[in-house]
Amino acid sequence: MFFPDILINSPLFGIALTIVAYSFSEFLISRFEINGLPPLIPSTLMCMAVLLLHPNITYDQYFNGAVFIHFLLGPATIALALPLIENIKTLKENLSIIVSGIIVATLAGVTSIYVCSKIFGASPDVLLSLIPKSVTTPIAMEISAAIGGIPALTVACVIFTGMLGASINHKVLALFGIKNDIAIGLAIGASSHGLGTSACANKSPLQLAIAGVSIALTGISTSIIAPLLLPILEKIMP
Amino acid sequence: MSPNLLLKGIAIILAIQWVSVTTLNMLGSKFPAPLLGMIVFSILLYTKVISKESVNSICLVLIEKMGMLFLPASVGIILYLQIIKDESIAIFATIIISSLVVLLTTAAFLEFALGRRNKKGGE
Repeated sequence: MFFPDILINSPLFGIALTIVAYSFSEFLISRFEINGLPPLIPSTLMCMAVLLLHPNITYDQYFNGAVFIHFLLGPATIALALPLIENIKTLKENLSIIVSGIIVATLAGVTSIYVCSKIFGASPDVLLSLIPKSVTTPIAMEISAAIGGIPALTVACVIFTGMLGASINHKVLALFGIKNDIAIGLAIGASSHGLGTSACANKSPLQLAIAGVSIALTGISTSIIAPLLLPILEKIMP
Repeated sequence: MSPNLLLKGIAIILAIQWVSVTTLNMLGSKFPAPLLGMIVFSILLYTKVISKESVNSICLVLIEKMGMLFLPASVGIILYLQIIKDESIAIFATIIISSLVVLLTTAAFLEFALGRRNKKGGE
């Protein structure tokens, strides 16, 4: 067999499948020039296909090895401090406007998610998992776990949000006549995190820098505001 | 991107994470530890306690390949396929509507705030 038990029960399986699937996806994307498609999407489908086609392999067996890669999300989040410090000048010059913009974005985000989920009849688990959907994945997972959501479901929501953002953000903002780079960068970073921000790369360096700052600040403000705002929303709209 | 700097960089980042996790655990706080780590790291970089050179390589690697680090968690979706199927309308409608609300509210607020400040500056 291609997947003998000795392989499946060793961390080698999860680590190798993750890295091979991801680099193969990167290769396919550069080979066929499918620009704009994050490698995470094809590689997720590949890993899922392996697990779904082999009923004898469980997700736990995969995660047994993949946890080593999953662990690095923590250090990667901490590493986001570097781009933040590199953009500190723009941040300082527009500090009060940026911070109030982020608070507006977070309040609008958490409230709109809560109201929409209630209107469309989402279950409490799904509602809580949707709350951090605009935050960059590692922080979103932490927030989701902290407020009682399902972190893996949050990841799915975060990724779908990012894909949607990467494809429509600039078109929507242009449609509404928004031209200021600081406004565009901040709104994109706050609504669709890193995936949406990747679409700013070929537009303007200022948009990219502001979006980077916005991702970090949205993470911080959502993790503070969401747990405080949720009980209030639950009282108003049970 | 020397091997020595990579090792030194990851040592610094792991040490910061260690301190963050321990501190939050002692306080019994639910605040995400990596986020506290990011704040602490920002302060240390800003005050030049840690030089940018010593962490530049590892940060570039971690940020550049961040997509791969999400993979184990996103494969975890297969454990929740049934919930996603059952509540697909609620999930996707919420994501689409809320994303547009956040995008437009924030952009409009920023345009208004920046416009007002520039007007003041011009007077």
